[in-house]
Amino acid sequence: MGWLRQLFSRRRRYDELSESIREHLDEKIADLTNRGVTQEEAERTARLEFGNVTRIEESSREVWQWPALESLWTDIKFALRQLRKSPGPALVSVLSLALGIGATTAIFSIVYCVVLRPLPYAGANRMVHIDIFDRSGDRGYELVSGQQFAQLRHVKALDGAIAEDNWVMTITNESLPQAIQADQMSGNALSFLGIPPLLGREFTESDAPLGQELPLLEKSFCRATGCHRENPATRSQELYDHRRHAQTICMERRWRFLSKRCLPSVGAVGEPGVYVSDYSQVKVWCKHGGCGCRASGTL
Amino acid sequence: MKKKSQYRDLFPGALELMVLKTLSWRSLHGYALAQRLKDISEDYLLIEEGSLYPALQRMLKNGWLETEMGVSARNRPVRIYKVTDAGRKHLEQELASVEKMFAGFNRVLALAGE
Repeated sequence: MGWLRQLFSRRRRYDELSESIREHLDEKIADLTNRGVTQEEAERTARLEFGNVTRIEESSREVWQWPALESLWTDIKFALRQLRKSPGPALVSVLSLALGIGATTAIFSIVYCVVLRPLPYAGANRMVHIDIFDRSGDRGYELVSGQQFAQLRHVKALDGAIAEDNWVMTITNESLPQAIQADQMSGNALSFLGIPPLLGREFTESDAPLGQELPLLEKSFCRATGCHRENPATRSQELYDHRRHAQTICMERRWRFLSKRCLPSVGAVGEPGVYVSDYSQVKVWCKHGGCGCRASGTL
Repeated sequence: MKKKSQYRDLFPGALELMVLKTLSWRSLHGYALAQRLKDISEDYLLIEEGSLYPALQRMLKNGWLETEMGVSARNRPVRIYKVTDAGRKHLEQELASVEKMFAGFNRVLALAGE
């Protein structure tokens, strides 16, 4: 509690300091006048040899202060006095600040959402996307087969791997068929990404062995099709070219499509709305074991 | 006061050390302390009177000094600076440290060219 005692005793310390300096100057002036110097000359010489009293008092007081903090507090008090003194410019300043902060926040929100927003998956910083290049170094549309993916999953350097691909499907339950962008993912996708579904249970690999499919719907798609109000299983039967499915899983909207930087929406080709687990030729996402490790494997 | 070229800057803590040593000999008020330092340094050191006060405040804050009211040689009421027990202990430690530093400094100066 020394700092608290120091805080409350400062005024007394400042007064004592001023008194000490005054005593010093008085003694020096008396000393000089005793030696025959005139009073006026003695006062001048005493002040000259002592130095700038105000500056010395200030630097002596600083010993008892927290200079950075108190300087900030002084600046704030000065600013508030100025604002009160001139309300017009103060209002303009506040409005400018409000507009500036608001505009900056809005721009950053857009930039964050569009460019910076990290993938909302468990261990997203360890996720990597594997691209396949042919012998000539062209990327093209080289994809991994189901068998190759199964081998990749056994690479010890990886915590896991999922496969995904996308294509356009057709909803046939409406009066007119509607094209939607769908994505197919391997059965371990939900546990790999660490995201729970809003509706239905997580599917597992046993639900979706190689070659079988399960529907996984994004929330807005659920709302658009009404599957969250009706029996999801019945509703889902009308999707995906009338294929039959055992269950429907509805995912939160923030669960974005892996290869897109935008939120999925339904009804427009190019925006994923339906996710199913099946793969034949796929792109691969891997999660490496830790910092500094690179995902690697032989296909 | 213009600094003369023959004066060197003191090392950090030197002023505090000289003040503590002087006040451990006798408790003094500010002006008397300044005069005493000036007299015994025989103008070898340039100690500005004003620079004493920040140093005195630092020492008061550290608990090495305390003040009490007294009277000057001209019978004026003045604040007298006294060394506390903590100040004496600090002085002993600092003197030992400075002696060691100067011993090393002198040794290097004496032998560096050989």
